[in-house]
This record gives sequence, structure tokens and C-alpha cells, in this order.
Amino acid sequence: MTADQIADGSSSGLSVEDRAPGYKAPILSTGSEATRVIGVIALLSTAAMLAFGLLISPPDLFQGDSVRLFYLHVPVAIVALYLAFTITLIGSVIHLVNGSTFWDLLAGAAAEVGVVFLGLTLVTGMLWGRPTWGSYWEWDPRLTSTAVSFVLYLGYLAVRKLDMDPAARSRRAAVLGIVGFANTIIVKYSVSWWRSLHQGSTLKPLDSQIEGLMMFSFALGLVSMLSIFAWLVMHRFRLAWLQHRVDAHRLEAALLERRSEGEAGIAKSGLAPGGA
Amino acid sequence: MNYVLAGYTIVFVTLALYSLQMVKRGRDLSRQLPEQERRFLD
Repeated sequence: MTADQIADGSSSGLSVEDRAPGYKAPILSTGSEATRVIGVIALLSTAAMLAFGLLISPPDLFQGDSVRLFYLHVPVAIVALYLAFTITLIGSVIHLVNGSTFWDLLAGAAAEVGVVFLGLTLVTGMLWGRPTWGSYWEWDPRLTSTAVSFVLYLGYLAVRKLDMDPAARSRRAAVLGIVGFANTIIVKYSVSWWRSLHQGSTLKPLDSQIEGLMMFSFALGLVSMLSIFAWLVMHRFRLAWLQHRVDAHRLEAALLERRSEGEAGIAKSGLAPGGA
Repeated sequence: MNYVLAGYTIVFVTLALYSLQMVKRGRDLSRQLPEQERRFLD
């Protein structure tokens, strides 16, 4: 399967001409069968997560109803820090190794969606911090390193928008995508390396701190956020791919225009071969 | 419970708006390409 086929979500390779007579083009979009399936999973899991997270699961003995933010805040943070930015890291490394456009665009798509999720991590964390710690923000190692990560990846997105040679821009972004991930490791271990107000990991493989309906609500939250993330990254990648092709067309059109202008100028001045 | 509701509202409204904006941009960009090069039609 080629990168193009991966990008368009189909491997049939049918051109417009190959389609049956009377074929009616559907609405143009970045959607496909795969995104529709993932979209349905996202909607169902989100509905279930809202029901269990807000209504069915019991309040915590110490935190009361604020614990319901756990089912949202933690999945959003996991998706942003450990999934989105890992994809950006992998895409950046592969792009630097072989110059792949596919991986460059995927790295950019994952970073943009990751920044949105990380912003939501900060907001939900602040809203959880107010009733739990008594303040929206503390200059705590976990919170500060997460904020630094947010700014770093905003910088990454800004580099991707720079008006310069696309190949050089992609390489610079890839370097930043790799460097930025180092901070993600700091975020992960900040609660163990330094004294932190932020709690440590609730989910330990052999010693989980939650169970029953709370665990189930959290699992639903994770499925919801993972499916929303997958849906968004697929659409964002395809959007970047479309933009890449539109830019290529514009460049081609501009070159043709300049070439025809040049040829017209040569013909007019009588300098064309055999024209003198 | 107000903080909880605010958190859930902010997250899902933000994600919904971001999704809608992305789908709209995709449709706008698709129209700028020749039909045989339009992606994700099926």
C-alpha cells in the first residue's frame, strides 16, 4: 500500500473514470469508512463515560464529587503526553532519517491534536486543583513541567507555520519534536524526582488505587479519549495531506506561468533560437 | 460539582468545535483540487 493510499484511507486505487456510470460524488470531506467507525465508537464511549462518570459511579470518600474529574483529566493527559507526543517523536525521527512526507505530516497532526489535549489537561487539572488543593495553580514540578511541555509544542506548531523552504522547515520541526519529548519524560517522573503536591500514579499494574465502578468509569474515559484522538488525528493528517497537494499545485501553476512569461519575453525580444 | 461540570463542558465543547472546524477546513481544501486528486471521497 502506498503512502497515498494510506492517506486517502482506501487501497482500491479506483480513479474517477473507473467508477460506474451515474456515480455521484459524495460530499467532499476528510472522512472515510474508518473515521466513521471510530466516530461511532467515540460517541458511544463518550455517552457511556458521561453516564458512569457523572451519574452512576459513587463519590469518593475523601474527594467527594471532585473525583469525577479523574475520569476525564487522566485519560486526556495520557493521550496528550504519552500517545500524541510519542507519535510526534517517532514521526520526527523517521522524517529525519528518510525524509518521509507521510511521517512529517503525521508528526505535525499528532502534535496539534496533542496540544489541544494538553491544554485541556491543564484546564481540567486546574478545575480539580481548586476544590482539592484550594487553588487553581501551584508552581509544583508536575504542573510546571506540563506547562513547559505545552509551550514547547506550541513552539513546534509555530515552526511548522514558518514561511520558509518546506524541507528545511520540516527538518527543524522534527528536531524540535525530538527535543520536546525529553520534557515529556520530565513530566512523567516529576512526581518521583521532586517533592510534589500532585499525587503519584493511581494506576499501578500490581497495586491499583481504584476498582469497581470507578475503574470502569476510568476505562470508559480512556476509550472515549483514545477514539476521539484517533478520529482527530486521522482528519488532521488528511487535512495536512490535502494542504500539501494544494501547495504543490499552486507551485506548479506559478512555475508554468513564469515559464510562459519568460518564453513570451524571449520571443518578443527576438532572442529565441532561429528568431534573429 | 460545579467544577466537575465546568471541566466536562469545557473538554467536550472544545473537542466538538475543533472537530467541526477540521471537517469544514477539509471540505474547503478538497474543493481546491481537481476531482481526480480529491482525497477521502469514499
